[in-house]
Amino acid sequence: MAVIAVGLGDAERDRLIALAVDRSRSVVDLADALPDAEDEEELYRVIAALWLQLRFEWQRHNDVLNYAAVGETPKPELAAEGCMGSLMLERLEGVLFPTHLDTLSGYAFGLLAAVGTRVPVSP
Amino acid sequence: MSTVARLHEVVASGQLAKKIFANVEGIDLSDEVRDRLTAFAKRRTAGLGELTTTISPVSNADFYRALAAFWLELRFEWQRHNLVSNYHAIRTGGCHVASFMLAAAASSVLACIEQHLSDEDRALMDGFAAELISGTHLALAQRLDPPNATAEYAA
Repeated sequence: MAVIAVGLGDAERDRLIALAVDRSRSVVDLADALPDAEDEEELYRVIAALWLQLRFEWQRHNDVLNYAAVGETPKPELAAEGCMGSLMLERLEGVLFPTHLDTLSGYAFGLLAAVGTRVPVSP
Repeated sequence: MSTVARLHEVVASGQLAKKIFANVEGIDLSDEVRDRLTAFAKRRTAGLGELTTTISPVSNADFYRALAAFWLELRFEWQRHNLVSNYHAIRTGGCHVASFMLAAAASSVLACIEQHLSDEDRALMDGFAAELISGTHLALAQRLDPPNATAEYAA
């Protein structure tokens, strides 16, 4: 998996590479756990959930980057991680039906929009 | 102490990382598993810290939504590691140590976040995550708009 690490130090670059390896390993773990034809439906659902997890993560990084930009605090490591996340999302999208992705993300983000209206946390 | 201050404290003081590693105290882990666990602890505590330092000072509503999304993200991750761990045990009779430990670690972070979410929100998100993985499409379909969209998902 390619890692875009422009402007990063060695430690951040190593962390990103380790993350890419870990992510790839997670997919291999899934394939090893559900290798049979009868597991295919469940594997599909878990990959859809993995896609949604990464989609949320990408969104979180994006939100943090936007707020950080307001405060003029650059976070290049998060931007690089976001690029890596995009690449993995694209790969997973190759095995999922676009209509399912639309339905899932529409529902999930709708759910979060509803959640955001209640705000019980204290500042 | 406010929600944000408490979350910031739990991250900055290292309490959350300690909680994650308390799960593996006394267990002889391979270097590979320990490295994965360490990377998980660093990324997840940093992620939570970023929300408290970057978003919460600007918008309380956005912070709460981001916290809820982070919880859901971890819930999917926990579910996935749990599933790998269970299937591995069924197939081999053994323990998939990495998945088992990472599920426990995700569980620690979930517990830390969920005390700051409303019960109603947590139940909604919990239901969604469980239905997606278990494939109980009907329950999900009843809550989807447009309703026919999930029929395609189930197909």
